[in-house]
Order: sequence, then C-alpha cells, then structure tokens
Amino acid sequence: MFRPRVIPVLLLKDKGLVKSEKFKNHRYVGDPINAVKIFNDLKADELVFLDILASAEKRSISPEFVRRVGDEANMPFAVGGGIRSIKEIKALINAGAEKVVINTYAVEKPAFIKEASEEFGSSTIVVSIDINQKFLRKQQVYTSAGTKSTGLDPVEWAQKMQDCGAGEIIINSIEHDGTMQGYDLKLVKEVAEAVEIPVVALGGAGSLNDFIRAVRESYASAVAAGSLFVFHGPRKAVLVNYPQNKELVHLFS
Amino acid sequence: MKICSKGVWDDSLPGITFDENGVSNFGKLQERMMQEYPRGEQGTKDWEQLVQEMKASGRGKKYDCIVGVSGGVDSSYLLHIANRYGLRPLAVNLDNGFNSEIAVQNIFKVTTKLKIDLETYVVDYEEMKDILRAYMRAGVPWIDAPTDLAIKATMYKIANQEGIKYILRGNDFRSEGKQPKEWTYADAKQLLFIHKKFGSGIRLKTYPLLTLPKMIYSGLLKGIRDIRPYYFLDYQKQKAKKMLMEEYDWKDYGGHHHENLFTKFAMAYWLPQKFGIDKRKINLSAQVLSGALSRAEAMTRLSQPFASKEELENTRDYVMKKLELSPEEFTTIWKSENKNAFDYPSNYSLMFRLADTFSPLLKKFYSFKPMSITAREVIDGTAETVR
Repeated sequence: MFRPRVIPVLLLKDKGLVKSEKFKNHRYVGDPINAVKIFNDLKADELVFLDILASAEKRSISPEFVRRVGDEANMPFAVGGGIRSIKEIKALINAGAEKVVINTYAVEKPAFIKEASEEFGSSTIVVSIDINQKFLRKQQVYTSAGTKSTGLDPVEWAQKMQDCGAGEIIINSIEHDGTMQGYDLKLVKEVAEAVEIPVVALGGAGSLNDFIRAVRESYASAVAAGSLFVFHGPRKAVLVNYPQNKELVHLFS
Repeated sequence: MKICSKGVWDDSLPGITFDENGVSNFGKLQERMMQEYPRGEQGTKDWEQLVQEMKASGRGKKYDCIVGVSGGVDSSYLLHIANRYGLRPLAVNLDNGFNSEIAVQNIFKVTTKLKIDLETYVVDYEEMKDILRAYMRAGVPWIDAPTDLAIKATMYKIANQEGIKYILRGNDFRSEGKQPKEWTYADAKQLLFIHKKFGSGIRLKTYPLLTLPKMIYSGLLKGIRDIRPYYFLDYQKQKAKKMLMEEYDWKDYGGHHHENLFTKFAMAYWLPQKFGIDKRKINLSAQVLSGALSRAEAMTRLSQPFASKEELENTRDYVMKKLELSPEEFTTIWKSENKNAFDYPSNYSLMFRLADTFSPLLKKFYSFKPMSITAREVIDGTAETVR
C-alpha cells in the first residue's frame, strides 16, 4: 500500500551523532554506525545523513564514512554536507549513497544543481532548504548550518531549485528544529503548493500525529525527523526508535 | 576432566577445588548463598520490607529507586516487578555503542507500557572504542569489563544526581552463579591503567568512572544501596520471558547477554576461542543447583555451540569494523599472550585489606541483607559481573 516515506535525519559532528535544538546546543547521541544498524533492523524507509561541520571545514562528508554507513544500511540513504563538485558526488554515490543533499553550495552557485542533475539525474539531487526568521522580518533561506542569512524567499528559492533540476526538496525549519512541537505547517504548505517535485517536511516533529498533519494539511510527500527517532520519554532518553510498517500504514490510511 | 558432582563446574576454572565427595568449592559457595538468601516466604518478607524502605525514602520525590535496564530479560522483568509492588523507578540505560535493535525495542516497549521514565547515559563512542580496544590488546579475558564498570558507575552517578537511595539490579546468583575472579575482576584503577598503556591517548571525558573513594562516598556517606530483588523473589527466567513476550510484546534475543553485540562477542567468541573459557558452565551450574535445570540437561547444553559458526563470524566482523581493527591488528591481538586481570595493577589487594578491616562496612555497600557470608568471600573467588 502506498504511504508517504518516513525518514530519520541524522546529524554527524566529528565522528559522533548529535541532535540539535534550533541548530544549536548539539547533544551527543551516540555512534552513527550503531544507529544506522538499528534503523536498518527497524526497517526505516530511508535515511538522511548530514555532516554539519563539513561546509565550514571546506570539505564534503567523508566517502569513507558513507561506505561504512552503506555496509550497515540496506535501505536507500542520502548524504549531505559540504558538497561542491561533481567529483565529490561521484565519490559519495560510489560509496553507496543513493542521493546527495546540497544546501549551501546551491545558494552560492545555483548552476551547480543544474550541472549535477544533468550528470546524475534529478532523482539523485536533493536540495535542502533551511529556513529561519529574524525578529519581525520575513522567513528567509539560511545556509552554512544556519549561520548565514541569504535574504532569499523560501518559496521562490524552492521553485528556482526545481527549475534547476533538483529532484526533491527538504524544507527544514530552524525555529522548529529539535523542539518536537510540530512542523512549520504553513511554510511546508506554501512550498509544496508552489513546486511539482516532492517536498520533505523537516524540523519539529514530536509525534506521529505531526506526520499526518504535514501530509494532509501541508501536502508534504514525505516526512522527516530527528529528535522523534532518537529520543524517548519525558527525560529525552537516547533510544533509537522507528514505528513498525503496519503502524505507519494504519497512520496514513 | 574433573567435573563437580553437584553442577557442571570443572577443573578449567581457576581456583576450583573438590572435596572427597567431588563437590567443588564453587558448588559449596552456591549452596551457602542459597541458604543465606532464602526465597519463598522469608524472601518475600525481606523484599517487602525493602519495598517499604524504598517507598519511605522516595516520599516527596519523583522516584523511589533506579533500575538499570539493558533490554534483556532480567532487567525488563525487574521493571515489571517494581511496578507491581508500587515502586516508582527511574529506568537507566547505558549506551556503549553496541546496543542491538532488539534491546532498544524491548526497553522502548516495557518503559512505554509501564509509563516508567527512562534516562540514557551515552558514553562517547570514540572513548568507548579506545577502551575496548585497549582491553583486547591487554589480552585479558573479560574485555567487556569496561561496560560493566560503566553501568555500575552510571547507576551511582544518576542516583547521586537525583537523590535516589536505592539501585535495583537484575542479578540473580541462582541463574548466573559466581564467576572466578581471574575471569572477571575489574575496577576503575585497572581500567585507567590498561587504557593508559594500551589506548591511543584519547582523554576520557564522558566515560563514567566509579573510583574507590567515590564508591565509598556513595555507599557509606550517602547511603546509596544496591539491591538485588531476585535474591529474595521467586524468579524463573523462562517464565519471566514468556510473560514479557505475552504482555509487552518483548522479543527474545538468543543467548545470555546477547542483547549487546560486544557482550555477545566477548562471551561467545573471545572467551571460548581465545581463552577456552565457557561462562555457561557457571550459569548452568547455578541453575542446576537452584533446580531450574537437570544436571544432564546442563551437560547437553554445554556441548552445544554458542551460536552458528556464521553468526559468530558475523559478530566478530562487526566488532572489528566497529572498533576499527584491521585484520592484521586483530590477528596480532589474537596471537598475543593470554593474561588475566591480576597481571595488571588494580585495587584488588587494597579491597582485600579493607575487607578484612572494615568488613561490616563493606557489607553495607554490597548491601547483602541478611548477610553472614564474609566480604572476603564476596570479593574473592566470586567477583561477580555487574550485570
């Protein structure tokens, strides 16, 4: 039965897995390889791995690391962090990633998305858009792990990325990140209505109910989350979890 | 090979002796402990008194006690018991980077259904990796000692933070028995020594250390007590397993302690294949004496492999990958001389002197109640693994 994809998003910082809150206060949550192994055994639909230091350190996420992830993951997974060349994408695909996620460099050089999607096909190229709001100003696109504002309008930017050949867009709300208070439904809806390609909602999911709302009210094609899949209970204990398939089928039916 | 006439302890165990009837010292200690900790009516009474004490100490607080959880049957069932007796436990899990999917699912299911709060302490895996590699290079049998020590330290750490006075553990000497000290002795001092000598120099920032002074502080000054409910209560693993599966959709993971992949590697591969140590002899003997198993059945089980050859090799390969040990280094480690815990400095002899001098006090932080077995016996020949 068809149902929207449900995707854990894992953040890599140095060699460890971390979880952020509003892109800050990174809390160590364990060994990435162990998490991948558990998500694999729990039969997650797909995984996204983002190296949050890569951009700042002017390198891409390590293909060697991606290979180790691939050893444990039978499901498709996407990787991102500091990607700035066709050569790097090639190395990551060869290491086992199915898709690559590009954020900062897409803003710096939109033509690169075009070039990459022509080279590898749209379905390989995912553009991630981080969005935040400063004081009373409009929501805008941020890059470099949420540190740089660009002044770009999220909807217009998403459309542009679609035109460049991106196969999928991840809409990530910095303000909602790690709060577990629900997605920015309005934002996701605006983007989803403006583009034809799949939109993945990210940032703020705190319960399975948030998934339903993102799909039904905001037309997200897929839902992604961090905290929800690594924390458990009121004390936010670190415990990797993922709903069973029958639970998800029931959820979206 | 000489085998104890009461159980399946044999002369491969260090320190084993046999009397004229062929009964080993391990068998005798086991029998004495069974007398010291009666189950049945007396045991239930002792336990219920402890429950009252725990509830009294937890009055006005959020929790009465801490229960260490691994996702295994002993600790999962302990949560069930604590709940049934009206206790309000805080479940605590140590994440050493090797938890299995079944383990985390089991913890998730039981704590969710019983609405028990969970706290996880995550050791930075880069530190854990370095310590575990150091233990392998040191060539000691019980390479998972760092995990045991970290679990114990975490319990005390969180008990101190939360102002909780009681720690419940799922140990059951009736199903686990007592391990020879040469196989399992470990302490914080030794860990620091082995890590310094065989590690890569990484600083330990998150690895929780329960040093001797800290242990004395927590046990004697703050009065944190370590309770093992199965010493008192009628606990049968197989029955408990069945109940957990039915009521909590809990999943079985195979062998004893196989809920953690490194522990599985240590028990089922490292010990038997490098050291010729089969810890099942201890566990099965204990079960024979407690009447859960016939001696013949224990013999049959001992003759069976730990797991299929393929499964064992997969576990080894996964451990090598996770510890980033190249095949060359693994071979070097594998071929290096076998040592035991007493080849490296530790607090063992100090503990001994303390045990003699302060045995009444020492009893207190082992919290054996009622207890007439001497502290010396508890430490010597019987050092138990924490889980």
